[in-house]
Amino acid sequence: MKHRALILRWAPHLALLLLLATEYKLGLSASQSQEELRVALDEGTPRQKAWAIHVLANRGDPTDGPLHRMYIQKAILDPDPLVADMTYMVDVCRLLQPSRQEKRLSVRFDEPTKAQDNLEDWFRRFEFYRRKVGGRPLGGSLRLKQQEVKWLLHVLSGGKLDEEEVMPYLERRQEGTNSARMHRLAPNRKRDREQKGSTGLIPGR
Amino acid sequence: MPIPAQNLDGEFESPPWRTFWVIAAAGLTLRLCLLWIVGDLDLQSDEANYVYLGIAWNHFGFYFDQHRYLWPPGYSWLMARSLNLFGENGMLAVKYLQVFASVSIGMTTMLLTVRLFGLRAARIAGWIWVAYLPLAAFTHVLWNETFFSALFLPGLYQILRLMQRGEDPRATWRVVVAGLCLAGSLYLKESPQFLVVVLALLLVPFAGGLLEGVRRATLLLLVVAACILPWGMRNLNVYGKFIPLGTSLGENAFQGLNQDYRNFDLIPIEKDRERRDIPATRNVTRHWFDYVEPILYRDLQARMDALRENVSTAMKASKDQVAAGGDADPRAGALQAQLLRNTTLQQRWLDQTPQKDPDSLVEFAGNVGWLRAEPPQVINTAQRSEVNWANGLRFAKEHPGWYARSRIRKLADLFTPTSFFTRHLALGHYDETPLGGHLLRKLTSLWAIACPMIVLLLGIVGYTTVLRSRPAWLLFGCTFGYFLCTTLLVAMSRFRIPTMPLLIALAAGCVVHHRTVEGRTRKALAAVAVLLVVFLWWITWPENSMAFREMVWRRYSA
Repeated sequence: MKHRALILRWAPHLALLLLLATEYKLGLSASQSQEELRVALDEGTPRQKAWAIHVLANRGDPTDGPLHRMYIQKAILDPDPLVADMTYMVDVCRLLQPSRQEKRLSVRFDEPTKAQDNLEDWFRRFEFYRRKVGGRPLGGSLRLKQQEVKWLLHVLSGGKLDEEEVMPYLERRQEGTNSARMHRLAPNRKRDREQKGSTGLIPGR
Repeated sequence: MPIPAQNLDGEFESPPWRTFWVIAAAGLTLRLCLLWIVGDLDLQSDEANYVYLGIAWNHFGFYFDQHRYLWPPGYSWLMARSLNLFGENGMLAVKYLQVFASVSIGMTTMLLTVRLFGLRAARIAGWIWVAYLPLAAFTHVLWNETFFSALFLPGLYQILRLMQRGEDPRATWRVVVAGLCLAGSLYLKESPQFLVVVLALLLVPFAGGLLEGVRRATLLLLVVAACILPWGMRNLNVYGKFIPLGTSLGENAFQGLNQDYRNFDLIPIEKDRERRDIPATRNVTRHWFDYVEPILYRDLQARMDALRENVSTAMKASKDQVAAGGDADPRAGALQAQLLRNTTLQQRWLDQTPQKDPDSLVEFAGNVGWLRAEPPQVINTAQRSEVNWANGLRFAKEHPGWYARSRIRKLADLFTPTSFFTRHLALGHYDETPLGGHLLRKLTSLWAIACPMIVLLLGIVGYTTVLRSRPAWLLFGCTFGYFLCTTLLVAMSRFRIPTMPLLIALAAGCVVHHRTVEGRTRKALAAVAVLLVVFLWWITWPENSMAFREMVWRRYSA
């Protein structure tokens, strides 16, 4: 009887150890190998591709991995908006200088007629990219404001934007900042040259 | 009046639940009123980052790191779910949720106090919590302090009960509840992850037997481990490294173990002042506590001349070396950069009106600090954190004098009487709300300053004089000590928020039982503690008074 009471007192420990072992096992089995990630990158659904990019960009040394310059440049033009959006996020932008992304974003400010993405796609990528914790952290003064959150949520739920309303607002925000490079998102070739390493992999910022 | 915690038989006054709920309802009402008054404020600082991460989580289906940090996912997950459910009103929904979650903080404060100091003190503690504006203000901003405290404090309360009761038939249940609460809080802030180990160790000597103590301690650790392991495994998959919840150590080392002094209570204020073209509060700082190499302003010219000569000699020697077929001396370039930096600093000081006092301290930029590790040097956020932490430690070891001085400043930053509420007032975030009005602004700012001043002083006196329960003394001491240690890297008023309810309990105990204090040692300890706090306020007084006077008080009287 005494032993039974003693065992019962330690029963929660045993149950938790079993739970921990199960979690560990499940965690390991959910972990994908580089090969599985490569397959997901090529053949997966857009969400699987985005996840594969996320993991491949963060785990191990990505230098000789599948996220090379050609892949990223192709992904920028990917017909699936989710994959294309992913190239504007911090994972990809810190792998390869995001000059192409910046060019696509800045063209709407500089020469709107030559804009390659429709306004909604462009706005979504612009908001994901130009953030303190986003693709390119351009300083605290360009953090999301509620108006931008409203537009972003509207766009994400399939809504349309009014260019006459959005662009002047974004222009005003950029002008209201005190950081040197916030007025335009045009590529900075001098900086790109300085930061580019021999492998073509350079600091994201 | 006897202090209940002196009663070692485990008999405590049972909580008057009705009174507690009435006080909690008053706190809830006040916080709801505050939320209605200020409305859905625009996003500031990290608020925008949490919202960004929530939106990105919904869009891509997973959680991104923040490049320099890997925050625990709890708050962003909540934001993601709320935005999913309520659309653009999701942010406001989180604020309402915070208001209701804050009741947990108020109730725990009263429950802790009733066990330690009795009913009267608990009622006082409850009303202090109701009126404590800097805490209340965190319910209408999108920072995770409210949710964190709402989970962390009940966990601590259960630990206290276990420590006080010894043999307790409901011990297992209490340990599980404590573990779940603490694990939940870790999903919001990873900083107390090592405190959990300390708390587990504290359970051992107070369990009525070593075996039972070990049983409780290991159970607590297992519950917490079972809760955080799934996220740790996810991080292992993504980063190739087991990170239990998140990591901010490296970035905090960059901010706190580096040449430039950074305090996030003041950084936005400095930026705002720069934008308005008014003198920086940095001009009046007591620089002895933060400059790596402070020198007198009147000695600056002599130091600059010596540096110019050094640079000239080094450059000439380097050129000669190159001419002789050797390599250029890298030291010459470093000296040149140092001269450039000093010249820029000096010019800024020379441009000031009025001129700097000859006896004021200025920085002689002998050491330029260190830069963050960036790709390709590091691959991911986890690795960046490790490298930055190593750099920070190296910098601290190379400058032991600066390290000791600047840690005093960090303590002062933690004990500052200002808060995020006064920071928001100073930055004009409440300008479009009734709180930005002339009278309310002045009243609430004074109130917000008075709250921490009174509670910090009374709370610390309470800890040294009227807290006589050994378990509580150890528990509170370890908790305060732990949070003090974490703020030795980066400190600001926000980091003391989780400990404020404990200080409120101690302050209430001090109010009710101060007459029972006997013995010169306790009184002397209390006096030293008060002097220490006043000394820490003296350190931050120049910037705080300048910002308060010019940006909160006078700004709107014109």
